[in-house]
Amino acid sequence: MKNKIKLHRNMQELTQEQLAKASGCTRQTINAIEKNKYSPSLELAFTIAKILNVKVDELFILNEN
Amino acid sequence: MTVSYKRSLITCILFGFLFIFLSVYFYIVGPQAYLDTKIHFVINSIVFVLTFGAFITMLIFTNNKDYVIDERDAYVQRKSYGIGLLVSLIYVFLISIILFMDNRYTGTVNAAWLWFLAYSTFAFSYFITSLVILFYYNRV
Repeated sequence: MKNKIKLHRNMQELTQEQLAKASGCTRQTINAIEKNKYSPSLELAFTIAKILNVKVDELFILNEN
Repeated sequence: MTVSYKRSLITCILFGFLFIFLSVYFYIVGPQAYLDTKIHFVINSIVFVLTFGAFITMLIFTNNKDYVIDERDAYVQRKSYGIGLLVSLIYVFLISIILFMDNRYTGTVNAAWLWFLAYSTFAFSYFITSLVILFYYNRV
């Protein structure tokens, strides 16, 4: 699964640390999600989407392959 | 570096040292001499208490308000505990079966082996679990 968290985070002028604090996780987790190393739970995905003011399906793209 | 990662790294170093120390000490002294002389138990117990004391101290010092366990930490720990348990069981199985193969004709095993197996399993399980946690943190 790919995501556009970095793009939307930069648009909102948020750092990884700020996004992590707002979503209740660590900066390392945000970094791992951005690098597609870790897939977040539904709850965290919705929380991040809400903070970044986008819909979940705009933020996360399912890899067809 | 998250607090969970830091804790796993220190745990890995401490219990890795303890496991190697117990194994090397037991190998050099040998089971019979180990059982005959009380000083070996005392030396090993002191090292064990010191290592465990350092572990408890590390837990207290890293338990600050920055310590957040998020879902990724929980995911890594859940996977690692399962693998750690399995590897520890394999360790106990291997030591037990080697002892059986070596002593099956005499029918007796030196009791010092049981002491070694008990304490080394304790150190090994902590060491291997924290090692697997570190591995998973570097992967996800």
